[in-house]
Amino acid sequence: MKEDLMDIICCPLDKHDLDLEVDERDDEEVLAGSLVCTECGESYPIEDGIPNLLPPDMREDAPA
Amino acid sequence: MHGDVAVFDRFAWAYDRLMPSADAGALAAGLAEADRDVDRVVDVAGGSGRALRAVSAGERLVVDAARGMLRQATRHGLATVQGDAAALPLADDSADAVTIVDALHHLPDRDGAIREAERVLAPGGVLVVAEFDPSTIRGRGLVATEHLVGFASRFDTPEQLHRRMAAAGLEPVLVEDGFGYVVAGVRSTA
Repeated sequence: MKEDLMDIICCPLDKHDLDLEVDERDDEEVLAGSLVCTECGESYPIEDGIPNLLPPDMREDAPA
Repeated sequence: MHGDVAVFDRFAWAYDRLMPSADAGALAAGLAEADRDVDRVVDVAGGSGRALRAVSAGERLVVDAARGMLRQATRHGLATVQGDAAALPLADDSADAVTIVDALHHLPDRDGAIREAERVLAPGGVLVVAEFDPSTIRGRGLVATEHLVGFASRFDTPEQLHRRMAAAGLEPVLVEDGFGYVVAGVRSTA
């Protein structure tokens, strides 16, 4: 994801702003990292350049 | 997995080859209903970005629950976010237009998706929904086929979608009628 996406994305649960933590990036975009809600503290992963901002109970790896 | 997401993850590789390209003219007519300039367009449940690729706009973002579909969209140079249509990870008033193209029938919570679209639209922004009318002859065939391949699809008639949008506070206009129809709902500027 390109960093300017931070202007519009938010926590899907409470719609508060997110903090970006970068693990890996190239010239254009963030490839791996996480997005952490400034209000509820929920952490959302960025993998292969695509942020996963599904509510945690909809994540594939979440327990049913 | 949620609704039809798992089916889309399995079929992402074939989707662009199997599906016809969305009617760009009808989409553009829907977007033209906006009471503001359309720079940022968000395609909700936009999958591989098939519809969004036909739309010209400054910023184009695909939101979809199925990661396999988003990888296809990324390859076409579109910005992508994995997210749920009924719990959009987008700020209030952040989009000039939201599109839901041939996808509303796949969403488990259609009213939730339309309410969320209304929330992220800036005043004067437009929600454009392209759907298939299940009351037409071709529509009845499509309903049968989708159920046969394992989708849990539920289709609105234009009248039902009209009511759904009005209930969410949008002003709906039928832009194109027929088997494939388009309704545009404008968020009031007041």
